[in-house]
Amino acid sequence: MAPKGQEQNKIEDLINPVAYKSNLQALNFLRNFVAVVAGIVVGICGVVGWHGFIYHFLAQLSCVVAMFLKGCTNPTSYFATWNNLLFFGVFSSTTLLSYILFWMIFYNVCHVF
Amino acid sequence: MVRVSTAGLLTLSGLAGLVHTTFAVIQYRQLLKLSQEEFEALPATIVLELCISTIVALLGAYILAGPIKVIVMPAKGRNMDIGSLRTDLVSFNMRSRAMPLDIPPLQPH
Repeated sequence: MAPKGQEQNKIEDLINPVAYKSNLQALNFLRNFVAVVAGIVVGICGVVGWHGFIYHFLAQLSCVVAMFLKGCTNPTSYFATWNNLLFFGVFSSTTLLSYILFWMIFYNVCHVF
Repeated sequence: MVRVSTAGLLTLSGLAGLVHTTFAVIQYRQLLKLSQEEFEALPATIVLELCISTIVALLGAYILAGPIKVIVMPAKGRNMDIGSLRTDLVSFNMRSRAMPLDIPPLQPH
């Protein structure tokens, strides 16, 4: 006969790894694209200085809003944790360096050369 | 024939608009240099074109990213296909299947 403690334990829900990977890929793609477009806009506007990174983080925050618009009412059901939705790919080198690259290119093209 | 989706067209249009805005800013700055004026701010038309191009490009990317799916499989309604998703129970094809089970142990010489 099983002890009483085991009877109270719930069966943990399984996570579909294919869907999880697909969701993270969608978020990653959106984050990279938004970083590129934000860099272009910031470069065209002629923003200089460290406060230019604030626009990058604001743009990455807009990806969270985009995920909510896509139907992510409960982030734990789509991205396992809130940290994944908020911070996955935000501080990755691809995103940050893409933002800096396009910011630099378009600022130089518009305002320097 | 290359098929382009609506989202792809939107993204390309937005990016083309951003490139056009870049050329507009370059021309505006050249005009300022000719009239020997300092650059203070972009004109409203260029800012408007920048905003519209950004919105169109981001809309295209939003559609291109695709839908998101629920990752949690509840306890009820599971089928037998989920067995292939449990990495602990994944089987690998290896040569051990071809080996007979009654191999005698090696004897020391």
